[in-house]
Amino acid sequence: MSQDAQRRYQFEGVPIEPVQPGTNLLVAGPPFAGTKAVALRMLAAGELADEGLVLVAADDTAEAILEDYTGVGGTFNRGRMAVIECAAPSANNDDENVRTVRSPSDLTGIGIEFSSLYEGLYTEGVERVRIGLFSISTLLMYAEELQPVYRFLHTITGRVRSAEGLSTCVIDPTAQDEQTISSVEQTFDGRVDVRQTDDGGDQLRVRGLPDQPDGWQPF
Amino acid sequence: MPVTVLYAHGDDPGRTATAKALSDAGLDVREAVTLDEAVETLAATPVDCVATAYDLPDGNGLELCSTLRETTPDTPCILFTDVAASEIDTTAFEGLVAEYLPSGTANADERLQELIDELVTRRSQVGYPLPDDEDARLAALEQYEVAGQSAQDTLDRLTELASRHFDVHRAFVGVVGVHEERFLSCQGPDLDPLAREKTMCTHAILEPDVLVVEDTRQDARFEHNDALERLDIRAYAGAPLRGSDGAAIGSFCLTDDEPRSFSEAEIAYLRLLADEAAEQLDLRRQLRAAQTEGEDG
Repeated sequence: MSQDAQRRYQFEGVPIEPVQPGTNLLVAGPPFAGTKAVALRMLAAGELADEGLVLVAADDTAEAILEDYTGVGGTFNRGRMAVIECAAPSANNDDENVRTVRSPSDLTGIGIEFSSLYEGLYTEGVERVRIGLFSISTLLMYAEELQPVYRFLHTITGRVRSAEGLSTCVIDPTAQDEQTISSVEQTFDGRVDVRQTDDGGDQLRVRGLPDQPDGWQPF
Repeated sequence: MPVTVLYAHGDDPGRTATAKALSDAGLDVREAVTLDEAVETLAATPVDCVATAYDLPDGNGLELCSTLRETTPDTPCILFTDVAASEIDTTAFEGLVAEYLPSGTANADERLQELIDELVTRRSQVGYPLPDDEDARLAALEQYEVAGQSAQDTLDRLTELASRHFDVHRAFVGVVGVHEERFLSCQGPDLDPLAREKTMCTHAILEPDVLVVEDTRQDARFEHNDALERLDIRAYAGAPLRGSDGAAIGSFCLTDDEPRSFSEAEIAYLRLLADEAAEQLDLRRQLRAAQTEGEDG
């Protein structure tokens, strides 16, 4: 394997070819089509290479997203993984790996916790980090204006680019109009569409990235 | 030109040491001891980035960031502090979005300098989508800037033609610069330069073709935009002005103070006007380039 191929982020078990460090992916699909599960599997694939992980859980509690993460075969390793949840803090939460921000509308708070965790992993020598954002739709729903959401997404994707990380950020196309999605998509390097076919099969399609399978792939 | 940074921190010698480290790295550093002093500096000097402690003698770093967002919303802001992330009260500042960097680590000053560089070069705190080819687009725009001045009469004729043809509130030609849109020619009520995150052309330059918004209040991208309310913009059609390399430097726009639709024929006509304006600008750019070459040779 060439050095370049080794540096790429791989997605064992998901029909997506490895991508360059610094890639930001928009994962678009309705909740019922297993969109969250695909994104989590893409993140859990990093465990094969002992990569770090930061999950931003705007839709759910940290406990719930970690349960989903374990459900796709992941193991929450406190040495290099952390979650930001956006809910009322549970009593006496002094878990350094679970940070709590008051609400999904507090993009400043989420951004600060994100940078703090990312910077912390970097300081501890975890150089390869995957980021999961669940979901942009929730941030859009809570935000009064779009500008802070763009600013927040630029912050996350900018960090991922400069630190040569990987992000998968989920959006629900049934909750947003196509103009909003395509303007949000502008911040990302590629898009993974997820859908469920009439016979109940899950499929995904990668767009905007080189060397990826053509068209819809079952998974 | 060196990157200008405002660094606000109440305590010496920490401030002086960090400021010196940034200066040594080639940055133009303006120091401020208090929130008031920092706000005064912002009002007097354009800066590319703000780094601030969280606790300031007369306020905090988020208040400073808040002032920044009101005046120059694109300017990135970094909280450079030894206060833990969880101790920062963001309650009144939910939509600001600032970077956070711990100041207590061994190589903190070096990381600060790296982060400033990343934020400035990647424009990673702007509140709007950026075109893929933004650097090339801005470089191209620079070539057209001067062309725009010499094309004033031509552009005025074209916007007048637009205003006679369409029954709209405004017809104008705007170019989307690094931080704001400037209006080269406008028929209808005057337009002052407008922050990029407030303008519709910011979105129009991302489109392959004409962007039509029949009712701004029905479009998630624009419904909460107070500048559009202030300027009586309820409907919009904008055709990209493409430079010779294909990058959109701005748009030829029609806006109305009431929701309205635009027919296929109207959109086609607008496209003609945009192409004509773009060609007029490009001819002047070429003429200028040839003249400069002649003078040099």
